[in-house]
Amino acid sequence: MKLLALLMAALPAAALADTAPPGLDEEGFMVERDNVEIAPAKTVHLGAVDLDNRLGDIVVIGRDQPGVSLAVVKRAPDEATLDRLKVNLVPDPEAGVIKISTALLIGTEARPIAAGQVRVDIKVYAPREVAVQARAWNGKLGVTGMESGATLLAHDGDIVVTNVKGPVTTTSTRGRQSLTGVSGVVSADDTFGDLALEQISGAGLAARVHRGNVTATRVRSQTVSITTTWGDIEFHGELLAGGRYELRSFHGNVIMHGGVAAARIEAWSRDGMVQPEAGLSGLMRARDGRWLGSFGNGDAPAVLLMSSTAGRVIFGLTALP
Amino acid sequence: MSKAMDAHRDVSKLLDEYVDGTLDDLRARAVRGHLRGCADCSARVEATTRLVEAAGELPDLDPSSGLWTKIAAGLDEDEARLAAHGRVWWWWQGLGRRFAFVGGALAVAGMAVWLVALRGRVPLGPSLQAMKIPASPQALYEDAVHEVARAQADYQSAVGDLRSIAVGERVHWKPEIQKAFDENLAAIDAAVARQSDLARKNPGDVAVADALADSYRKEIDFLQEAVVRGDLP
Repeated sequence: MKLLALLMAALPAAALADTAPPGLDEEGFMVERDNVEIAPAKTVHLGAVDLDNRLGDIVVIGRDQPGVSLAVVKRAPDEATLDRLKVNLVPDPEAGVIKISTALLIGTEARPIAAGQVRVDIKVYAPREVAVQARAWNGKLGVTGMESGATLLAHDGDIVVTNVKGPVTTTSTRGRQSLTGVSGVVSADDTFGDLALEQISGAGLAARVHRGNVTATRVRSQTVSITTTWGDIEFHGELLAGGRYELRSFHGNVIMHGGVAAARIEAWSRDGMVQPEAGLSGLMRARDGRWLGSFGNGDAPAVLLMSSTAGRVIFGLTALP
Repeated sequence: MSKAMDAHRDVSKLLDEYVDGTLDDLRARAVRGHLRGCADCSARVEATTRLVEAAGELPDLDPSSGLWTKIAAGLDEDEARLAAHGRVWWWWQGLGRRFAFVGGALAVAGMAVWLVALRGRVPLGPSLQAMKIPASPQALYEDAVHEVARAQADYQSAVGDLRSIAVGERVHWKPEIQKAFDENLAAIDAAVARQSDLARKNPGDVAVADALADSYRKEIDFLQEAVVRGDLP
């Protein structure tokens, strides 16, 4: 392992000029703000930041600068509790990873504290080329401006991803998710939250929601698979030549409007209905209940598969050159 | 208070370590640079050094004068630069490091770290004022365990929902699909049961809770796939 120089630099003296002595009364609680700059040596390739914060929000912002900046805000009802909130920073230059995690130390003294009263919010500015891995709980999880993808996991907290290149994987149980301007393979999974996908492009898009709606607009991915149990699926996008587009729900409605040069279409509903919009001629209903047909002309037609066991399937296509 | 006085106050906290020789090279050089311009600190270091020497507790570690002459010029410049650091630098070197740098990782990290901390009091929001404060010292831990249990309940709710749909839907499935569904679900159930057992035995273990959540998500995915596609023509 290379022993590299640890360089320290002066910060503006004014940075501490506003420091207030800690204090507490029944009307206030303690807030600590920590700003940390991490500057890897030139020989260190920083490949990823790995964040695990179960105590608050995580926001990662890409920037065109080397090094990573952290802005951490801790909140607690008193200073002793504030001191129990720990942020662990583990730079691993060999792996090229900076790991950041938070923990709440449980003391032995009898001090009544509600978990909801402590909080750690982390904002990270990182080079765009760094991959992001982040876990939150009730806090929000946001990533913007990164170019090597992100893997994000939350429970109650919302997930927001904007302007990200590379593979993006998101998982939430109850939070809402919004992914906008993602160029890369996208996999989004939610159990009870709504999922909004906008301006997604790349090799693949897979989305799965149990109780929640999926809205996908301006999608331009080669392969799309969107599945819901109870929620509606609404898809607006371009069907690429040779692409495969599969929109399926058990009970929700499937609404699809796409532009395509040529497509092979298959639509089905057992207890609901299939409603092709005007302009789609030549669809035939097979004996097994499927609506089959084709649209446009081309050597590599897109395959469009839609179904809802108990909901409606509504779709329309416009011709693209 | 002037910046010079602030720096003087902060540096003074390092002087004993400097005399003891326990400061790392970076801070030792910085202190030496400060001593050149601070008569008070120099006097204190001199007095402390005399005391230590008088006690005979330290061997003479001074390099030969010839050696020193050769390297002094370079070191003087370096130490003057270090001594010129702002107060924050001195504060960081001598005082509160609010972040935990695990395992001394920074020493080998090849990553430089700067830190600024601002502390202050802000008004308590109405929602926080209305919050009930538990009486038990273990409340934080119990709240965390409760939150994990609530997450598991969420997953179980989704699983129960999908199972009940599957019970109604399976009459529409082909026999081979029913068979495959039952076999796969039995395997997944066994895995979830193992993870649940582990979670019960390790209620505060985040990794175990995460693994259980992952098992539930796999079960949800499988059940959803079955109910959405099981009856496809």
